[in-house]
Amino acid sequence: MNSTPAPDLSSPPEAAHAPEQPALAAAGPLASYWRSVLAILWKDLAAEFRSKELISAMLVFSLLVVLIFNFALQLDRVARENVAAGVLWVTAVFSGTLGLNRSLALEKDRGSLDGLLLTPVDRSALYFGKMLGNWFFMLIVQAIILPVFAVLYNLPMLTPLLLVFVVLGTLGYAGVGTLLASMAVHSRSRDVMLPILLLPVALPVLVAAVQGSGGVLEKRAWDEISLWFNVLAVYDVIFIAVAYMAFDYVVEE
Amino acid sequence: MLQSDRALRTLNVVTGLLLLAATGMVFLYAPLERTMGAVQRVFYFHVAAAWVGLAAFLVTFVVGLLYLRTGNPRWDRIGHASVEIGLVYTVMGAASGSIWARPAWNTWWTWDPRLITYTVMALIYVAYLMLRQGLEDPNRRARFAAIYGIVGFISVPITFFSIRIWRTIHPVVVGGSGDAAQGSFAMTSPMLQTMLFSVVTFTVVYICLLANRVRLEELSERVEHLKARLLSA
Amino acid sequence: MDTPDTFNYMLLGYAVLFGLPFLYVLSWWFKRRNLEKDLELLNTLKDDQKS
Repeated sequence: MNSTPAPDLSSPPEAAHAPEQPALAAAGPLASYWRSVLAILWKDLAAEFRSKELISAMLVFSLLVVLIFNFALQLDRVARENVAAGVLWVTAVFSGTLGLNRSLALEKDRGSLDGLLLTPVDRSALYFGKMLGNWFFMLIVQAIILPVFAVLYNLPMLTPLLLVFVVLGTLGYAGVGTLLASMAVHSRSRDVMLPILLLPVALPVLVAAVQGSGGVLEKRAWDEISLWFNVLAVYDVIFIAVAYMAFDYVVEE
Repeated sequence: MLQSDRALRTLNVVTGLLLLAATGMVFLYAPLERTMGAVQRVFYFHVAAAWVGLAAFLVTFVVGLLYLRTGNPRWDRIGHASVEIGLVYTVMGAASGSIWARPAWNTWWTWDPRLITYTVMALIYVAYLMLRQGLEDPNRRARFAAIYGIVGFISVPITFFSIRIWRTIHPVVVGGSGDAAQGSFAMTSPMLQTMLFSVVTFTVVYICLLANRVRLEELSERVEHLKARLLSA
Repeated sequence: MDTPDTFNYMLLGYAVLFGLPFLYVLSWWFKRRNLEKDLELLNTLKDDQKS
């Protein structure tokens, strides 16, 4: 990470290209805000595509969970269809916890978070950058797991409606998870702290996502599923807004 | 919280008297309920403990906001004390409810939305205490605890409504009809008065416990402070 | 309708309702005693340092 080129961050634009400053101001503070968010996101993605340690760990773990569930629940054909949504989301949530912990722990150990804090970047841009990165990793894992899952469980997993639930569910989980992980990494027992903090708070995501995707798999009518869609949407909005406001206080020194 | 010793002592005495009066009302004033028998008397303190437990977590939420705004360590002490007391109340409510449910619903536990929500809420605040324990720096501990107290409390209603969609057998005490729910009963006015008095009493007990707990925390901080000064000298 | 005898359940319920807070307050008492002992020790140490 130390060698990672972090565009825009290590060298603030106004220092490097002083004449460009008016243009930047004309583009508006919002544009420069999102540029820093994207820069942080890009830093995480670049580091990950080089090492691939986060995604590979999440992926192998997910596959193991899927297999273990199959043995632990002694799933026959009918039972598999009934619990598929539950297994899918437990897999997503556990591997997501793994990823969140790792992503924020790396940030702390390498001191790159402290470095980022020295730059004139809005702190909440840090949150959105990290959150989008974590969300993206969860989505990549899901993109690989879903087809595997469809084959193993012999279910049509790749319907658009199910993907909507996957996108919304992982968004809410990464949204509140990034905030809590950034606190958990400071605690003495940080490896066990995150799931304990995150799982009870994120329970509504799990409930709504399981019910919603279960409804999709059982081919229920939209009327019955839309309720869960709404719950997920409300949760996502509220928790990302709260995390956005609270993040300033997490990184404050 | 209460500055003078005398005020605290008065509060302790008043709380004791109120608790005595509430106990008297529960056993002597409230009538025996016909269909469930004596166990229904658990109801008064059960409801009071459950409601005030929830209120304690609301207090943590509010002082969490105040702490983040002002940075005054007193709000942090109150938030911490409130979570501890709220947890004691929550366990009291859950245990007494379970004991009541055994004869009324014929089971110790049911997967009812309100029960699940309450359990999850208790786990959130156990996590709150564990988070505090894991953080050394007092400033950071206070900040993180305030944030988690806020995030945790916001998730409680969402948890409740997302689980609510499954049907409930827990009787709705205030508002709405509990006719369909097993274990509900028609409340006569002595019963209602006893319940309301219990809730008021438990609120005062909560305030009294909070004041004493904050006092204890201040003593503990004084000891820590002195220890640190002696070690550095 | 017969009123069932649930007296024992009521007893158990109130044992819990009074027992738990009692234990909680008892834990304060121990904590407080230890703290006061510490405080006394620290104060004597401080006096020793001065002299």
